[in-house]
Amino acid sequence: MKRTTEWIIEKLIFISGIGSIVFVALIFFFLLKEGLSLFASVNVFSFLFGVNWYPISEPPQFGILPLILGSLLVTLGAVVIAVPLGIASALYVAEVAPKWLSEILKSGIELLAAIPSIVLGFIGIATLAPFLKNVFNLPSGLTALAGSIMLAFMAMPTIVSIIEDSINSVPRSYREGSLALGATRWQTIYRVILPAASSGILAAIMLGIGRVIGETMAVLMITGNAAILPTSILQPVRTLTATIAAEMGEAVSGSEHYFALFAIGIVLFVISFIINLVADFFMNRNKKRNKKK
Amino acid sequence: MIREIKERCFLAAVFFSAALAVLPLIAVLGYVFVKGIGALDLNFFTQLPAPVGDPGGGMANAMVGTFILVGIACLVGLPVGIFGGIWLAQYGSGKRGFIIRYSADVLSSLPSIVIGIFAYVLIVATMKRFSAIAGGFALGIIMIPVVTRTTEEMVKMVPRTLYEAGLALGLPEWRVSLQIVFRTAWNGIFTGVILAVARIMGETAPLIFTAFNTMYWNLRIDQPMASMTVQIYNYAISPFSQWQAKAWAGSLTLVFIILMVTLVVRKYSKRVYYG
Repeated sequence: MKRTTEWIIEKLIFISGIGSIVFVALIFFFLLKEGLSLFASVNVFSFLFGVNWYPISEPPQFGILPLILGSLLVTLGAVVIAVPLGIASALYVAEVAPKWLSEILKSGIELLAAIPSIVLGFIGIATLAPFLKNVFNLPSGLTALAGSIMLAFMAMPTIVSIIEDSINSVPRSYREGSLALGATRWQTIYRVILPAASSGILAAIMLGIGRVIGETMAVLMITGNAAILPTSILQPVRTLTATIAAEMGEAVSGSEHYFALFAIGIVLFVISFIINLVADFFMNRNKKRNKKK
Repeated sequence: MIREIKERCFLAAVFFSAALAVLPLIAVLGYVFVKGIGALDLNFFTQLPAPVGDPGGGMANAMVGTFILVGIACLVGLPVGIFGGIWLAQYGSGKRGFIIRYSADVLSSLPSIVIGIFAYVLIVATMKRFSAIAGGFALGIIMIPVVTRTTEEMVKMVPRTLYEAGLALGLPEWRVSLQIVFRTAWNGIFTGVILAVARIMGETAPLIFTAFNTMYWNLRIDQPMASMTVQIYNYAISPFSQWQAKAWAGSLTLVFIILMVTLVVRKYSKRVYYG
């Protein structure tokens, strides 16, 4: 009797242990099951590289290239803003600021991560969009640039905290050696610390990208949602995630449109899987490097 | 001389970057407060949404809905997350552990909208209607990786000797795991759980086509259920200034709850002592 209970509980712990694997596998399986049905009638090439996304016109067209490019453009813009800012902030927090200020800054940046994206998106509509509209004299401020700025700040907490960790994991002796040679703080950071932390920085950038490309509500509200091939960052765009969010509720279950949205889900799954793989690679390299020395 | 100038420029640059990084937080909090405080009154917390044109009205049903959805999410996410973390900490040093840890990472980096469509096809398409179960389920999956990783870290901090002492007394392994290791690590795990809850409270994307929304009271979990985030979204994109004011009030309430929870837990978690 006791044996059996023990056996059952141990198995329960084990099953929960593999819960993450089970859910990842189930998600991938269901995405494939629904998404691949689309390719019975639409070929893969014209799905991925088709330039028209007209899911409810007659006949429907399911080209997601404008959506992919929309996601990439918004992400690229966010990375261009967030990475330099993130590296510099992490340096200030980890290397320059006095301890009390560094604690406050760290909490502030982390709290930013706790603000729901829906609230950020709403604020974006109310403040950022009109601002961009006036500055660039646009017909509408709801553009890829607005999305990039918004997402840059949403990626900052991820980027700053991982870079800060990797700067902190650079052995103290490196710093002391460099300063003892008469190098200034800037020279120490630029020539010694940044190279030593480079893997961690790359991992942080990858995870930041992952955060940005998967973000849905803020981009849905603020990028203008026009499924056209973007030619400028001052144009409205539509991202992969926003398309699913906007159309899933209306798509008739079992229709081509419905399958197409799941196929977009497969694309997102694959993208975030690859990003994670790359980030993991850099993360491990960072760990190994700093262990050796 | 030049190196001194460079040094100065560098210090100024990193200082302004850090300031620029925290500025949005202050701006966001200030803006939400100014916009939201005007529309907040007692009715907001006790009444159902009112049609356009009617004065008053609130988000009471959405607040209750959010708590119910979080409750369902905990039922799904906590057992899997906590047991998973314990398992990882105790047996997860080999190849299997690596794969599980990797899956947890993949799960946590999956866009929440993808988890939403998974819940849609699994539950909404099967039941043929939107329901709180589907929404809570999606939120629960989002919790799993967060809870797993915190639990693992906290359990690993429990001294090995405690574990060995339990085994030496002749206790079965699972009893040692649950009654000694888990209890010792509980404070830390609790922190992780609360932070995960704070995170899913702010999720919108996986809810819009799972739990959907309703303007009425609903406590049945097999029916569509309102949540604060979806309600804020619907009001925010509406053209009516009265509804937008409600969206600001909702944003203020939600941000207040989430920030308070996060701050309190962070302060509390610093006092956690192991060993």
